[in-house]
Amino acid sequence: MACISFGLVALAFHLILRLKTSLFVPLKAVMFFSIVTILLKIISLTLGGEYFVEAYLAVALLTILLITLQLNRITIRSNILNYLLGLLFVASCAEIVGAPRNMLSEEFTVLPIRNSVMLLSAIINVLMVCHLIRRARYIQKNFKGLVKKEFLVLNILIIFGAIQVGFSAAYLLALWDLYIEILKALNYFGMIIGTIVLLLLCFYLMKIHFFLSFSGLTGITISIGDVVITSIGDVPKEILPYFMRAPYNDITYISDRMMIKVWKTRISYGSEQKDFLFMAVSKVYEYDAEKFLVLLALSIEDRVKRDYLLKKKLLNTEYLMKQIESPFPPRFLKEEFQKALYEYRKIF
Amino acid sequence: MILLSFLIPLYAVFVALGFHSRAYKIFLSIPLFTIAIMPIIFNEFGIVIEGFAEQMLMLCALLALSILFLLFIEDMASRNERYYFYLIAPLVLFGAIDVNLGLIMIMAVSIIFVAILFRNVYVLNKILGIITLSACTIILNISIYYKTFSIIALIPMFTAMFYFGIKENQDKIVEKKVDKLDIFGKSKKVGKTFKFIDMLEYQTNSKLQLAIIDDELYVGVRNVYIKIVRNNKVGIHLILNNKKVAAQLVR
Repeated sequence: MACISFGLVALAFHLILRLKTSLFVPLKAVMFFSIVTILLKIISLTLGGEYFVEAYLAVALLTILLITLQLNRITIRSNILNYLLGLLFVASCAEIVGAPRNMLSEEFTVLPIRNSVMLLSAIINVLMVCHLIRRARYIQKNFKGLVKKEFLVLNILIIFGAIQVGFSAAYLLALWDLYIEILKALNYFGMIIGTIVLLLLCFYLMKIHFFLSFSGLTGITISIGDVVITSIGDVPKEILPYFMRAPYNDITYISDRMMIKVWKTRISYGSEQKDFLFMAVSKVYEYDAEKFLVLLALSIEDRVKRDYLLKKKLLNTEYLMKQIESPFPPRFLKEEFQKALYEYRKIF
Repeated sequence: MILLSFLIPLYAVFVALGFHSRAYKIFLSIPLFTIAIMPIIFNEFGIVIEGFAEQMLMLCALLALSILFLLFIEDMASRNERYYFYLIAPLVLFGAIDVNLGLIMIMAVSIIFVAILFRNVYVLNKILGIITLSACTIILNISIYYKTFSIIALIPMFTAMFYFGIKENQDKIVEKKVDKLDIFGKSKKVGKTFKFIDMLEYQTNSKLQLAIIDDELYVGVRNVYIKIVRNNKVGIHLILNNKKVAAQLVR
C-alpha cells in the first residue's frame, strides 16, 4: 500500500513541479513532504526504530499543515493563522518527542495533541474551500465558462477536506481504544485515497492556464470615446469618466481593497479619432493577476493597432450601437482573452 | 559577564540608531529583548532556577525571540516572504524541547532573516551591508560556541541599520511629498496626479498603497502621498518589494 502511494505521490510531484505560478508554491512543498512521509513510513515499517516513527509522525503532520498553508494562501492569506500553525506544529512535535515508547507504533499511532491538530487543520481546510467556492460562484456569474475547470479543482479540494475531517475524527476514537483494528486498516486505506486525490488535484491544476477565481479578477470594461461598449462583471462605473478624461495612458492603482488596471490609447482611421480605454478590476491584489492583466492589455493594444478592420469597426457608430445593446462582449475581447490565457501559461 | 557586557552596549547602539532614523518601532523591542535575554541575565548573576520554572523561562524567552523576528521582518520582507516567515518563526520554540534541535532551527530562521536583511541593507549602502552580514555571522558563531539562544536576539536589532540606510537615502528616493489635507486646501502647487489619486481614493472608498501612472511611482502612507524619483532604482526596488518601507520615507 505504502509503495503504491509512493508511486502516486511521485507522479503528482512530477506534475506539480511543472506548474510555474507563485500561488501554488506550498503545494510543491506538500508533495515533497508527502514523498518523505511515505518513505519514512516504509523505512519504519521495514527497519523499525523509534526515531523513524517520530520523524514520520512529525513530517506527516507538517504535510497536513502545509495543505492548510496552501489554502490560506489562496483565500484569506492570514499571517496570524500561519503563526498559529507553526505554534501547533511545535507543540505536536514536543508531544511526539515526549511520548512514551509504548504509545508509538510503526503501524498506527494516535496522540491527543497531534491528532487534535490534524482535526483542527482539516476543519480549517473545509471552511477555506467553502470560502473559495463562494468566491468562484461570484466570479462564475460574470465569466461563466472560464471557471469551469477551477470548479473541478474546488470539488476535489472539498472531497479532500471531507475525507480529512472524517479520517481525523475517526482516528481520535483510538484514544479510547475503540475499533483499533478497523482504524489500522483505515490508516492504510486513507493513505491511498489521499494520494489519489492529490494526484487528481495536480492533474487538474495543470490544465488551468490562469486561476481566475483564486487571483480575484472581478470585472473588465472597454469604452470607446465616452461610450462603454462592454462591461463584464463588477466594475465601479462612477470612476470610469475620470479615467476617460485623465491625461494618462497607463494606470495601475493598488489599494487596500482593490487593484485597478487602466490602459488607454487613441485609435484613428482616416479622419476619425477616438480614445480606446480598457479597464480591469481585481478585488484582491495578486502578482499573478497583475501579470495577466498586463499581458491582456498588451494583447488588446497589439490587436487594436494591427487590425485595420477592427479599427474601422470600432469607429463605426452603428457597430457601437449594436454592441452597447448586445448582452455579449465583443468577439475580439473573447479572442484576446483566450490568447492572453494561452500566452500566460507559455510565458510564465 | 562577558556576554552581557557585549549585549547591552550593542543593543543601546541599535536603539540610538533607530531613534536617529525615527523608526519608533524600535522601542517596542525593549520589553521583547529584555525577556529574550533573561536566561543570560539569570545565568550571569548566578540565579539558579530549575525544573518547570526554567522551562517556562526558556519558553518565554524563545517566544519573545520569535516575536522580535516578526516585528522587524514586517518592514523588510516582501509580502510572500513575510507570509512564509510567519510559519517558520515559531520553530525557534524547538529550543525549549531540545537544545541541539533548537539550535539548528534557530540558526535556520536567523539565516533566512539575515539573508533578507542583508539584501535590503546592501542595496542602500554596500559597506553597511557587509558590516551587517559580518556582525550577524559573528553573533551566530558566538551562539553556537556558548550554546545559548538569547544572544541571537541581537540579530533582529540589526534592522536599525536598514532604517539608518533609508534615512540617509531619503532625499534621493523621495521626489515630492504631499499631505492629503493640502490637496484641495491651501496649496496650488500640488500636482494634477496627486489630485487624481485623491479623487480615486474618494470614489473607490479605499486607501492607496501603490500607483504606477505613466511609469511614475506614487505611494500612499497614512495622510501623505509620496512620489518616488523615477531614476532611483534602489528606491523603486525597495518600494515595490515592500510598501511598508514608505512609512520610513514620510518621517
